[in-house]
Amino acid sequence: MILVRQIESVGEGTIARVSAFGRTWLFLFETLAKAVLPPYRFSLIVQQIYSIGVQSLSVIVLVGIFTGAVLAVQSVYTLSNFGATAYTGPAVALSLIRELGPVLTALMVNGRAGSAITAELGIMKITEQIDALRSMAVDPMRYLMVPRILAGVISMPLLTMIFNCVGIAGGFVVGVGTLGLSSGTFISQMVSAVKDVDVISGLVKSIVFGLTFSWISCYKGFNCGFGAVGVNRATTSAVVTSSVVILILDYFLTSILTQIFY
Amino acid sequence: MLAGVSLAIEDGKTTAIVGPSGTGKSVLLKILTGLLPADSGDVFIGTQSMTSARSGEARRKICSEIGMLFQNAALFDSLSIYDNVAFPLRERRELKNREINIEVLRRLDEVGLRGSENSFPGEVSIGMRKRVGLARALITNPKILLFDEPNTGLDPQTGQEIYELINETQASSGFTGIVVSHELPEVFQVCNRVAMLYQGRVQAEGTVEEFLKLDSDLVKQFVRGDTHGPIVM
Repeated sequence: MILVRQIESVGEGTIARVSAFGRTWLFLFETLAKAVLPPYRFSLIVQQIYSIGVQSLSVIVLVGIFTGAVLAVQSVYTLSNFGATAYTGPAVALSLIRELGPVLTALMVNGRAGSAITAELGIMKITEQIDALRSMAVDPMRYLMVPRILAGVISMPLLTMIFNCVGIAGGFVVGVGTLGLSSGTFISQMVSAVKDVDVISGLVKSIVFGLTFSWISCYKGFNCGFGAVGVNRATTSAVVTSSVVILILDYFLTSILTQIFY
Repeated sequence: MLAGVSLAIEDGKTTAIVGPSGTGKSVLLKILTGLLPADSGDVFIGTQSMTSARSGEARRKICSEIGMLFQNAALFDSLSIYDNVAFPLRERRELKNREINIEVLRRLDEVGLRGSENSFPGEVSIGMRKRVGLARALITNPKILLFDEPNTGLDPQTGQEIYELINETQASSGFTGIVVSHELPEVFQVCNRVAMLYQGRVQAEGTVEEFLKLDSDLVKQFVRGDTHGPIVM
């Protein structure tokens, strides 16, 4: 009997997880379908771009500068073993543009804006604000989810580009100013090494990551449990799930984009 | 939770749905507004069926005839009091901004909150939030107004003010009201008829006088607030 119950609970748990997985995708498809149909709420999208994008600028710039700086330090000390410190510029730039820019931007924005989205929607749910929208025949998917998901998709590549720029600047300042590299070599080697496909692959990743964190954050908030505990759990789950999915997606996207572009 | 609720609400009057906590009063209210689907049965507003209203346009038409004051007012935290009250009119896109402004200020006047329009829900008391919720529910001139425990969380004086406001607005607007409450006898001052919900069914129904005179142990226990009797929690 105990064994039967254990097997039953494994089965129930599996069914629950698969159902939740399916509901998450249905949520995304419904939101994207409503995003392309009118009426379009441009003012709400702009508000969310400000909330997700503009208000993340300071943390993105700070993290970007120091990421570039660290990359420069690590690159110089590693490349000096091979007498190749001249390639510090390309090392910093390509690492940022192809990989660290999209990933770190996504993780920072997810931690800041993703958690805020989940908490806000969760509180709206438990205080019946979403029910109030429905009672006024306002579709909460269109009013709440679509602007946030579109804002995530629009903001992420812009923030990633800013991250990359300040990161390269940070690497340049440390490499040239502190580690004694030649500024001309740093820039010329970087310009010749960075190709269009590097930028495109980085931006493709950032768009996918933007969709991912905003989708998961909205879903978790919209479906949170009751009370403060429910909001708390949903917020934590949203941040952790989004972060893990972003890192997993990064591997698959890197493999696919490498096949396509390189 | 509900098992065979059959209720006819008289047009132009206010009906109170009462009963012990957890018997499904708020669930019934959400089914009436279409927020929760019923497993079986239907809700009719006049001859219009709620369950058959599947298209966005049909749903908007029905919702335009219903207003609701939620238990905690359910105001939108990110909008000011003015924007909360204006919200339903802006969503309808039928009136110009100037006309919306006139309507919003009129309703805020009606609930005694003129001058507070720039405040946010988090900055005002629960009593004021309920007044804003009432103004928002009334702004579209609905034919039906639903009240989910309008006095929950209020001190007796503020609760009395809310009931007086409901009576005043009902007298001026003529809406059909449904009030869900477990507070007796306070709720009797705003309703013409009472229906008692228990174990998923309407156990008793009638005017306030008829309800209070019913020879029913359930009703007597509930009205007196006795812990002993057929009502088991």
